[in-house]
Amino acid sequence: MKEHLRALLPGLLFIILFLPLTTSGQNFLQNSQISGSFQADAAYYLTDTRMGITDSTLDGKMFRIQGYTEVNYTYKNFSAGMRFEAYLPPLLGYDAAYQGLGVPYWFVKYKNKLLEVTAGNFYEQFGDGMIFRTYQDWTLGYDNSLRGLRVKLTPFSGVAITGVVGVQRYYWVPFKDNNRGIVKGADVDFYLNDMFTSLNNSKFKLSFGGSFVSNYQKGKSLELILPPKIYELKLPENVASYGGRVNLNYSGFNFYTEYAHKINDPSAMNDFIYKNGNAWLITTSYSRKNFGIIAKTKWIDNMSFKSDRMVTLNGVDINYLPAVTKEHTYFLAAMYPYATQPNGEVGAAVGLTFTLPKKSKLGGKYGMSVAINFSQVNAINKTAINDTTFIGEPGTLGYNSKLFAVDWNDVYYQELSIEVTKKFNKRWKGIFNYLYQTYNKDVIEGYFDQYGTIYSNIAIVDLTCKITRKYALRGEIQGLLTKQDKGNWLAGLLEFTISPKWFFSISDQWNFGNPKKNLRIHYYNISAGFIHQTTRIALTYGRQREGIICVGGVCRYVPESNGITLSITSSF
Amino acid sequence: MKKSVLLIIVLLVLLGISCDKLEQPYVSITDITVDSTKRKILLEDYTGAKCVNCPEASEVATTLQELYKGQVIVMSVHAGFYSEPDPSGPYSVDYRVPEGVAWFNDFNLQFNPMGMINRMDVEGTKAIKLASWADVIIEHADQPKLTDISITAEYSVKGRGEITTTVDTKFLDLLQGAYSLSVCILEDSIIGWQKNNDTLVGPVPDIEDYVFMDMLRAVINDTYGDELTSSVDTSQVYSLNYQHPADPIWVPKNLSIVAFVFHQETKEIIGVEKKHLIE
Repeated sequence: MKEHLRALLPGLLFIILFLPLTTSGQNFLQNSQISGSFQADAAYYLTDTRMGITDSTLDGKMFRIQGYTEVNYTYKNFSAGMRFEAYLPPLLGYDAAYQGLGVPYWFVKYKNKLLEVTAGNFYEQFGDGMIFRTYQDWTLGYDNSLRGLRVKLTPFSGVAITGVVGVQRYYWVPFKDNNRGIVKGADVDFYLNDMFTSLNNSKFKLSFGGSFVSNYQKGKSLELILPPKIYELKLPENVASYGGRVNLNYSGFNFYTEYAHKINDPSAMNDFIYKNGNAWLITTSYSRKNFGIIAKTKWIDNMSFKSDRMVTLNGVDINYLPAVTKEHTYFLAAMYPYATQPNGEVGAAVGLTFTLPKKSKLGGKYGMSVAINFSQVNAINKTAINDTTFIGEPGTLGYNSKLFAVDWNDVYYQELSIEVTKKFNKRWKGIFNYLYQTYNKDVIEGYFDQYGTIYSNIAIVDLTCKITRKYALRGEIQGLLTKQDKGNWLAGLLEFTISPKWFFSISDQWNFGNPKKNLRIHYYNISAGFIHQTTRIALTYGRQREGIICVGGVCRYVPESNGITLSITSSF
Repeated sequence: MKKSVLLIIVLLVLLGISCDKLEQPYVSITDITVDSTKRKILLEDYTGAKCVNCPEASEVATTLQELYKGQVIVMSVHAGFYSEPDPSGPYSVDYRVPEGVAWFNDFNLQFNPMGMINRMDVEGTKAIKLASWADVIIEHADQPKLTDISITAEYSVKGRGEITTTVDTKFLDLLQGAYSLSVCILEDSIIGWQKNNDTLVGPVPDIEDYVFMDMLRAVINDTYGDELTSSVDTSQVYSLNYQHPADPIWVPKNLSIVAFVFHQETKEIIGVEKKHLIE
């Protein structure tokens, strides 16, 4: 209870500080801006004998609701904001540790041409985030904001310096003693075209930057029991990482690369090995009218970086390791999404998009867009450090690895996808997809030799009929064929839209090929929604299938459920 | 401008010192050797089939039992909210025994998973959280042995089956106070549904074929046993005999007897022994 009161305190302070201001000064009000957003998700879960959902699997918590309200206030150079959150209790699939309510996020900020100072919580990213990124994602139920102080300086045009210090949010757990570390970091960016007037109008653009981040967590040793031995491990109280990046741009060509390095960081994530970590990301792209190509590659070796070395699940990540694989929204294409493996992976992806021009043979009257993507992620090649130490042995350097040395025999993920978008006439438009996916379920979902690798062929047809300017009907038919895991799936969706306010949809995902006949379940859904200006209300009834949801390679597990959900979002 | 440069220098200096590069060796390793002259330890794992964190706790208990083979004895007691069965469905099997539930309540264990280690008071409570099990056991593994407990047990097929056991206790030290003996029946390899949130242990959220080990099936001589003596005599062997009917669902080859001697007031266990019914 005390903790909840403590969490509410910033909110109360915010109200106490700003209520008198907003009521006493008319000019203050006239020159200020208030903005914000709101979201509430509520669910009433039902038992379902077919899916094995009982009162006990729901812990007796049939009704669940979670939501937030964020308010931001700006007056000239000054701004402040806060977010109130409540999880009473959290919806299924969100970590139970979220249960509670309070103000986990608040800030006050002052900004002028030279300086920007933020006190409180903030989200920040250095480069692509490989050594530092704090962010919040409501879909993932993820928030690792840093609470502390941030200073941004712009001493010259084209030079940006950022310094941060603070502790990360970890659900509602207050920071104390050594339950997590204090994160400190500095970043500098140089934009050459802004620094030198002679380059201001150049087509050739160049920028580079560098970062340094350190985590201090109290505790110089740790006792670890692994039969038949007890390991007394030395711990580094300060773990440092640094990185650099370069971005080149000329006409439609773009090249970006970032390298990150981390010193010894034994943790529960890497089984307490002392090897240095490193990561390298390279992205190259070229685009012109009706044509674009992008190639990415990344190398990750022992790069989990958390402010609590004992945490193994999502949370208190100091860095973010970008994904090179494609994200999908269609039901079956998103069934086996890729989750980044911070302990080691090497991946590459190529994406090609082009449009066949109007009135050409294949393009027809309206043209036709084609997108082809290929991505693959493998294990990195690890070799033993000597004859007496097994790979990954706690209390050692763990293993040897060479930059971009791939273990070709250990594929984590592979995907080939082809998407064709075609407008047939003024009324009909279609999107056609084919995907071939290879998904190492044991590695990606963290199982130990239980499921193996899943190979799936997926086909999707998405047709939209614009009946009138006001009415539209969209239908999807999807199929997933695999001999592994739960077998074959068929899915369909029908969505009717009355612009601009209403939408209705009905869908079903049918696991018709499940090897267990009693599990050939229909995951049906029916939903309706209403949109008014910035407010959206949606009501859904139906079944949710088990799986993982990923955003940018970060994932959360979603269990099976059946029930009614109401979602309201708004902003002002 | 000068201020900016100064700030950058200060920042870099502050960050520059924030780096501990360790040198090898990173670890000191000690082997566990079980000393038969040391006191044996009973680790009671209070668990429930609907407790998602309990499979991980069970893994820890098993690891400690393997680590201190012959010195640590695990008894898995189903009690607490997450052990309460559903009226129907996969979690409708009731693994609780009344004495286990009484211990859970009497010792104020509150939730699952929770442990007791020789029912000792650690920082004012007998309820020891999973994260501390290993530390407490390591800390107390060197205590001198206070009793010699010998168990003989046999299974007879007469009627619906019967277990006969004799427990001989000899005190090795002239201890003060009154001491009692509890005798329990444990069973291994019971297959059933278990909730789980640890993918390293098994499927999430349910393990349909979970193997329950060291499960408390019955307490032969009530919640707090039978008195051995109120005045310890080190020259005497205290012998108690019991007969207990065997439940037909029990598998005799998976059964074992656990007997422990404890101080009547503090309830601290000063000696424990385990014997498989069929060796």
